[in-house]
Amino acid sequence: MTTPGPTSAPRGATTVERLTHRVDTGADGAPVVQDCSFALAPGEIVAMIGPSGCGKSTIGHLLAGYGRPQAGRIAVDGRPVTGPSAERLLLFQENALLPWLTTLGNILFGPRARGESVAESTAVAHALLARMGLSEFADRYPAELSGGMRRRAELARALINDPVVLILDEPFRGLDAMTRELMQEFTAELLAERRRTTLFITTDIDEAFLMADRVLVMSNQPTRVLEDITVDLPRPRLRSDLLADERSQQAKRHALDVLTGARV
Amino acid sequence: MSSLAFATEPRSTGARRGAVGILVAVLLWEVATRLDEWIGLAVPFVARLPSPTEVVVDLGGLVSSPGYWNSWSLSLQRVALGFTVALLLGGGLGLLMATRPLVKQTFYPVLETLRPIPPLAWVPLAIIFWPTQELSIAFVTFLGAFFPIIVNTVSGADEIDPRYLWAARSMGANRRVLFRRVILPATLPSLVTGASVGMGITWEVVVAAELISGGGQGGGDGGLGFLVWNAYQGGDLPRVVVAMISLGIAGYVASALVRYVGDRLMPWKQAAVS
Repeated sequence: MTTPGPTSAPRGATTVERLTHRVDTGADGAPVVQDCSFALAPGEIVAMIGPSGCGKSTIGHLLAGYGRPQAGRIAVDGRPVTGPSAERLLLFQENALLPWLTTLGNILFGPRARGESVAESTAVAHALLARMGLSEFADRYPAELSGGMRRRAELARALINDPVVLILDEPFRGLDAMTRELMQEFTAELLAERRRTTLFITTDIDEAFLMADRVLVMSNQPTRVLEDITVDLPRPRLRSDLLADERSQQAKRHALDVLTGARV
Repeated sequence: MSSLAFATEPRSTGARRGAVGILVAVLLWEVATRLDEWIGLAVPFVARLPSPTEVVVDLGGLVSSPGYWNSWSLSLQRVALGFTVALLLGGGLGLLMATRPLVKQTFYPVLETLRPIPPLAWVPLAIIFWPTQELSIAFVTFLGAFFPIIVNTVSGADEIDPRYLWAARSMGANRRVLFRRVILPATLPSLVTGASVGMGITWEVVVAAELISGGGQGGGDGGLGFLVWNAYQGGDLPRVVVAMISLGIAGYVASALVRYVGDRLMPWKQAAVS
């Protein structure tokens, strides 16, 4: 009561400080990320937009704990990131559901791996499946699901672990235009309803403004933050509203200017 | 269930066409062997073959002889022994190498050196090394299946999508969970492919090993491979063909069995892309 426990305090404050990292390809060894700093407030949804192949994914992978940064510091709630953890879950580009597990089996992977009560987590899994519109597909294998269903199953697989930070790496890449729009609105709604600190990596500027509280515009390789744009538009946001809204159009034009400037 | 392009066709259609194909092949064979006596046209190569009727007649005589079934049983036992040991050892060592880089780096070169040696080149050593002829034959059979199984397992494990491993580790999988729920199922398709290739080689090898070892004590019970050789030496061509076809059937059934078990172990592979 008197001292707020760690669970009641807002969690997921993420800081990336002067991050420099090279992926050892080629002899030149030029850094992919150089002197990159930014912070995510607890529960904040931040989109990271930049030219494709600029190094955004590398930042996402390092935040997830897949590899150690060569220089700089990444910390969540003051604790440095030293490896993968269920607190920081990354949704990979395209689909990384395990093909040999059913939808339900995939969602239950985390709770089972950690030896949690199966009955309890199965109930949670079914609730998540219902929210994702996948109840009828619980016993299907990923190969039997459509692209959009797989993305929703993967969201459910991440959310059941109750991550503090969610990293979405171009999550709608490879979906057809129609599914993509539906998934964007679905995910925006879902994130609004189950707020958690989210880093949303994308190359799609409309997507960034639809989803995020803040948009980080990244430079080409070696990447760093060029511009930090606050998106104070009311939620829920719809694509059509965004198109009509003058302020969002201005912000988007500004982001585009920065992006095109970065490419020269 | 079936491949995408023919998804609308029932499974039985394929089986019916296969049966028709076999029937047509037998009919052509019969006609080709008869043309000489019918119109005096000796079809090159084929004219000297026994006709299917002669083969069936010979088979009719054979099915009641215990020696023939004993040959089946002997060859089957040798294949089963060699294949089972190859599966356990090849699959086990393959997975060990897949999970322990140190083991792989140390022993894979040894494997790569032994692999190109044809199993039959091992026959002399096998005879010296093993106390009984049965064990020598089974050993050579084992070698035929062992290498495809271990090599496929190792390369299958090498090709696991790293995102699966990363995602699993993020969700809290320890080494044991990672092995049981990611590495093992991810490697299983390659292991099954290795097993079905290995099963084919096992039959090739057991036949050759039986020819070389000269069969068992009494003439006709040395295995199906020995049956081919023995009939040839006795100038009994219909029997050579009977033994050959027996081998064909045995190999076909054995491979189908491996595929069936593989399909059962991997239900996700049958999941149709809708």
